[in-house]
Amino acid sequence: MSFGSLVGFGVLAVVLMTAFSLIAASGVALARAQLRQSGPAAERSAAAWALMAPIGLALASVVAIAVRGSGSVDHCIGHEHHAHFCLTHGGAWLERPWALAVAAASSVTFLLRLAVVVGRRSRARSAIAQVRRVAEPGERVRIALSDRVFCFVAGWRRPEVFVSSCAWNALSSAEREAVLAHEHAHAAHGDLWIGAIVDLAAALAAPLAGSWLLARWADASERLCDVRAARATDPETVASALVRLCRAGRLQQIPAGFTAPAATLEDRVRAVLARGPMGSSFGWIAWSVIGASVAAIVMLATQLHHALETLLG
Amino acid sequence: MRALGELEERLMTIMWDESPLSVRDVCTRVKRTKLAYTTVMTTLDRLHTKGLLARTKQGNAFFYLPAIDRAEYQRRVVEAALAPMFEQGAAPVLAAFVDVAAGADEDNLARLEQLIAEHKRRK
Repeated sequence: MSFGSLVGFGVLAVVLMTAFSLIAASGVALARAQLRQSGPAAERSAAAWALMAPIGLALASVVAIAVRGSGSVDHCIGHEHHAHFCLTHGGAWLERPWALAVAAASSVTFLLRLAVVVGRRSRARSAIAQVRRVAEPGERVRIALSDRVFCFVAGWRRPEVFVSSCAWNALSSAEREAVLAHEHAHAAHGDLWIGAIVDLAAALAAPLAGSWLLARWADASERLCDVRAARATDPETVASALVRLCRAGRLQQIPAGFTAPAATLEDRVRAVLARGPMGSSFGWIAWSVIGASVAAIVMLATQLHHALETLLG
Repeated sequence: MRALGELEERLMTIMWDESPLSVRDVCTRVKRTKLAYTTVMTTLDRLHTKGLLARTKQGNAFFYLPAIDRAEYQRRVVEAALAPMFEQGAAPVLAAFVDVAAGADEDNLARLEQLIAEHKRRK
């Protein structure tokens, strides 16, 4: 593949990825009220798929378009007036300054965003390893001596719950159970590894769409774990634990808790007290839509190839 | 402050249990692992430099004692590890129970507590 072809396919991937992620984010935004009614599991699932599906669809499109444009010299005859999506005749892309600018800017942006995600996760991993060394081990929870209010679950293979001594002491025994149930729900849902995937997917998505969907995913995940915790204990205890920890953090006058883009406290308390439905994730629907879309892309690859070539080339 | 290495932590544990101790005293308490005198001396000196041990000179020997207790050490490690994450935001790196900053207004908290109490009464 020539450098020009690489630029051409790079531009194609950026355009498709941006378009697909904007469409997916718009879909989630338009269906937000219905998703909220269905329950946090549906919201979480929608946000996760809206982050991940565009990557798969964009890649499928690029591959399908590349296959259609390769191995056939005839394809290029009669198309000299625009740049081609083919592996051999890509030189024309280098004569288009805007294509070079898009390819360069996208590469730099993507690498920077990737570095931010990897750096953030690496720092978190290192921080947790430090806390783990000094936190008092218990059967179900590690208590870390701290005046801050925090509780979180960490560890992919063997998730462990970490709670600050300040938070632990502020809670009644029933509320402690609610907090543990919430954290264990995160581990049971696979939030620790799914979180890593959606974090990465958000770095590839259109900038505003990616961060907005990531916030929706985190928000819905918290509310889903609240519902799980409410089922394991009771809604009032979960709500009470939420408020009590906020109060403890406020009294300490210290920023407390990881600043997750979570729903506001009031939203979460009201949602858990309302005993709303948990909802269900719709993995099979998402897979069906993606499968159908990929099939359509493959079937319409020739038309897509020419249409995008004419549009961009 | 970062968490201590294995040897440093062992020596600090000895110090937290019993102090003040000279280098020779510490060596006798870790003799089963055959640590060299100079290794213990260097490690204690390093802990002193880090501000974890204080020392006084008696004759030709230094006697070491903890400058902070075990709980304070743990607090400092946790604070140093997590403070940057609190300040910069780590979402969605960690699944946290509550974002305290999300609803820390006193009136809001009081209203929510009242709401919870009403729900409890209705049960």
